[in-house]
Amino acid sequence: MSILSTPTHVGLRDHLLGAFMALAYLVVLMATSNELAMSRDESFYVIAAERYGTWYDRFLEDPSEATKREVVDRYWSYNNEHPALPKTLFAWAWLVDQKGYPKLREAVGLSPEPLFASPSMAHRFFGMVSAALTLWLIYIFGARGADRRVGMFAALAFATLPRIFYHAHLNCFDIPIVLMITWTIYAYWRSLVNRRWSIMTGVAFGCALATKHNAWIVPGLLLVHWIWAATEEFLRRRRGERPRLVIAPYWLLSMAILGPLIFFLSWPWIWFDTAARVVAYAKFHLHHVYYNMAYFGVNYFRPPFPTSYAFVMTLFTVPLTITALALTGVAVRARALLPSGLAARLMPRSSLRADVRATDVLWLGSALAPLAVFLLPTTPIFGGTKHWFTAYPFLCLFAGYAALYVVVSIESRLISRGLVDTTPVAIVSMTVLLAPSFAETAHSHRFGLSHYTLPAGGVPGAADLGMNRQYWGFTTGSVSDYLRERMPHGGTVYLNDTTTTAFEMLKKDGRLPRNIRAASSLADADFVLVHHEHHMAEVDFQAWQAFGSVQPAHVLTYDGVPIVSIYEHPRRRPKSP
Amino acid sequence: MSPEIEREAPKSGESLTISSTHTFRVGHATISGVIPAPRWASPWWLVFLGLAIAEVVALTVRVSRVPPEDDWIAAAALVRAQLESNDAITVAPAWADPLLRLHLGDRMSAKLAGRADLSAFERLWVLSIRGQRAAEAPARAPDFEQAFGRVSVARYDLGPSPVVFDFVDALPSARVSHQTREGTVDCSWVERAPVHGRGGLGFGPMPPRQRFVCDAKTPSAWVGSTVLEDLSLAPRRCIWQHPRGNRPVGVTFKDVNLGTHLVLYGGVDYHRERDENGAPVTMRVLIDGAEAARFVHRDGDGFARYEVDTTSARKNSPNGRGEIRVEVTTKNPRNRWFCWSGSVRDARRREGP
Repeated sequence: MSILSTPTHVGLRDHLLGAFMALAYLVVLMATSNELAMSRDESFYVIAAERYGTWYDRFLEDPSEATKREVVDRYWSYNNEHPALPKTLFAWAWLVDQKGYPKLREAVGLSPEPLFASPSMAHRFFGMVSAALTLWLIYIFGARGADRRVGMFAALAFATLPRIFYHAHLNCFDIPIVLMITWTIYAYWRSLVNRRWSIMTGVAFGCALATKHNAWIVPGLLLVHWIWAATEEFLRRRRGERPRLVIAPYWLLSMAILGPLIFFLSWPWIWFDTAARVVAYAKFHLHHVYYNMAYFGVNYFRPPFPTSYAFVMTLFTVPLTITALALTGVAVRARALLPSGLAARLMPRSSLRADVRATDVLWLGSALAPLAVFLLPTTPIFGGTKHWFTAYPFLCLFAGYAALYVVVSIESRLISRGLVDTTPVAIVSMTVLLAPSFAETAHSHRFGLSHYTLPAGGVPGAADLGMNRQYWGFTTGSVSDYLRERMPHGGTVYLNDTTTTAFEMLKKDGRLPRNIRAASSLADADFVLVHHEHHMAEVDFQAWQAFGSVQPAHVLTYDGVPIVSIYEHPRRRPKSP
Repeated sequence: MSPEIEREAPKSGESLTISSTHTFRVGHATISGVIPAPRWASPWWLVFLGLAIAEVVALTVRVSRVPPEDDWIAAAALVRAQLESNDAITVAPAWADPLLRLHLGDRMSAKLAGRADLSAFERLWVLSIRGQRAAEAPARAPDFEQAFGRVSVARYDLGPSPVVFDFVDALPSARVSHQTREGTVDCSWVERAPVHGRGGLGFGPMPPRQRFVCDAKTPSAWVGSTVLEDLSLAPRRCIWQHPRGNRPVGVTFKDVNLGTHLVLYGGVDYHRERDENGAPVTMRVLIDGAEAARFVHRDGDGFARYEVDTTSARKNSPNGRGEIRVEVTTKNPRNRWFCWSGSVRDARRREGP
C-alpha cells in the first residue's frame, strides 16, 4: 500500500521551495557563525585557502608562470593530504572578500571594505553554502523519491541535527562531502531511468573525489545497488514486462572518466609527479595516524576500536525522535527493501512494492555504508560523528517516511470525524516532530561538539558515561570575553588545543584585542587554557605544578559540565598586604 | 523510455491501487494534497508526537537541573568553614572536579588533589551533584550531611591517619644519588632550577623549581616532587625518579619511623606507558641497607600499589627507626618517566586506606 503522493513533475515550484530553505539556512548559519571560534582543522584550511588563493591570484596575472612546477609546489604543498576543491572555494571567497569586492567598491567610489562581516565568515562561506545546498538536494531527492513532505521533513531534520548544525558553519570538508556524495547518489538514481543523468553522475563524483576521501566508498555502494536493481529489472523482463530501467551502467563509465579527470584538474598539486602524489594521498588516509577519543570512559588511541562506536554515537547525538522515526521508516519500508521474490514469500499480504530503481535499497545502503566503515576495528574514530555524516540525509529521509505516517494517521482520524481541512493540524504535527531537533540544536549552539541528546542523558549524562567532551579547541571562543576582561592591557595565553592560527582569527574577527598573544610556554603564560578532554588532563596537572595551585580562575561550563578551565599565573594574583 | 514516472502517484481525485482490505476516502483537501486518508491509520503513530514532546520536556528538565553557581558557593562555604588540616575533599561525579577546585581549590594542595589514597587524611568531605556517590567514600552513611540546593555535602570521619612518614613530603631532606662507572655521585639540591618544560600534550610532568639535579645536561636527570598523569589519566603527586639504566638512581631517607608497613605507588607517565612497549622499571626498597622488597613495574600496570612489611625491620632496630632507600633501575631508560609516592604506615592507628 502506498500513501505517497509523489507528483508527476517535481519542478520549478519545488526548486523554489528548496532554494528558499537553503537560503533561510544560509542566513541562520551566517548569523550564528561569529559565535563560533575557529577550530583546529579550520585553521589549517585557512592557511591552505590563503596560499591557494594567492596562487590563483598569480594564475590570473600570469598563467604560464603560475603553472610551473616550482610555483605550484610552493603554494600547493601545504595540506596536500586533502584534495583541493573545498579549499579552492574557500580561497575564492577569501579573494573576493579581501580583493575583488574592495576593488569593486573602490571602482564605484566607495571605501574599499571587505564583503563579509568577518574574515572567518569569508573562509566559511562556501562551507555554509554547501550545507544550504544539501537541504535543497535532500528536499528534491525526497520529493522525487518518496513524497514532498518526506523531502521537506528530511531536509529540516537534517538542518537541525545538532552536530550537523555545528559543522555546517565550518570551512571544513565534512559538510561539503555530504553535499557531493548525496548529489552523486541522486544523479546516479536519476541516471537509472534517464541516461543523460550519467554525465551528471560523473561530474558529481568528480567533485566528491575532489572534496574528501569519503568518496572512495561511493562506486562500491552504487555498484551493489546497480546489481540489485538490474537483477530485478532482468527478472521483470523475463516475466514479459516492458523495459523500465537503463541497465547499461553508463553512470559507471561516466564516473570512471569524469571522476578522476575532475579530481586531477581541481588539484594543481597532482599535476606534477602525479602517481607518486596520488599514492601518497591515498596512503595518508589508508594508514591514518590514530588520535585520542574517549568512549565510555576509555581513551582510545590505537586499534582495535569499539565497533559499536558509530552506532552509539549516532544514537547519542541525534535527537531521539529522529532516530526513532528513521528506524520506523526503515521498518515500514521493509518490503521494498527485500528482493521481490523474497518479499512475496515473506510478506505476502503487504501491497508495498519496490519501485524499479529500488530507491529504498539505495537510501538504506547510502545510510548504512558510511556507518559500516566503522565496523572495522582499525577505522580511526577520532572525528566524533562527522565521518559518517554522509549517512544522515538518508536517515532523515527514512525519518520523513515515518513522519508522513504520523501525519496521515492524524489526518485520517480528523477526516473521519468530519474535519475537512486538516492542513493546520498536519503542519503542527510536523512541527512537533521536529521540535526536539530545533530545541536541541538551539541549545547546542556554541557547544556543538559537546552536545549529547536524550539517550545519553544529555551533556551531564554523557559526562557520567565518560564520553568525549569536545575536540578541536574551538571553545576558546566562549572564553574570549573573560580573557578580554581579565587582560585589559594585554597579556599572554597558553592555548592548549587551540591553534595559534585559530587564535589569530579571533583577533581578526574583532573578538580579542591584538595585545593578547599566544604563549608557547605554559609556565610563562599569564593564563593557561585547559580544554577538558580525557587525554588532556596532563595539561591541567602541568598548570598546577607550574603555578603552584590547583585552583582555576575560571571554569566554562555547558549544562554544568566543565568545558574549559583557565588558570591564572600567580604573578598576576593580588599580593596580600 | 519515460523517465521519472516510476514512483508516480495517481492524479488528483483518483484512488490509489491498494489491497482490497483497505479503503480510502478520496479527494479530501489535506496537507497530503491529493492523497486521501487511509482507514488503517493507527493511533499508535501518535506515540511519536508524545515522544517528541517528551524529548523537549526532558531537555528543559535537564537544563533546569544544572546546579546553579550559588549552590556550589554555599556548599563550598560550609566546607571551608569546617575544614581541618587533615581533611580531604572530593566531588562526585569525578568530572565535576574542576568545579570543586574552582570553589575550594585555594584550600586544596597538590598533595590532596594528587593523592593515591586517603590514608593521609582523617576526614573526607564529599560534594556531590546528580545524586552521585564518590568512589572513595566509605560504604556507609556519612557522619554529616547537608544539601545546598542541587549540591549536597557529606562528611565521613575516617579516624586517625596511619601515615607516620610521607616520602614525597620528606623529599627535600633526603639524599639523592646515582651510580656511575666512577662510583656513586650525589645529586645536588637546587632551590631555583630552571623550568625547562614548556608544557602541553605529551610533554609530561612539569619539573619543580626545587629539585635534585643529577645531570644538568640531561633534562630528565632530576629527582623532585611533581604531578604525574598516570595510566588512568588521574593526577598523582609523586617523586619523579627517572631510571638511568642498570645503575640505580636512589633516594635515601634517614631516621624514619618504620611503622608496620610501607605502602608505595609507582607508575610511568601516561603517554610513555600506554603503548606498552617500554622496558620494565625495577623499584628496590632497602631498609638499613638490606633489601626489603623488589618490585617490577611493567607497562600496563598503571600507578600500582606495592606493600612492604616492616615489622621485622622495626624489631631489629633499637628505637623502631631506620634508613629507607628506594632505588630504580631499568634495562632501557628510554621514555621511562617513572614517578612514585608512598608512606610508612602504622596499621595500629587505622586499618584501611
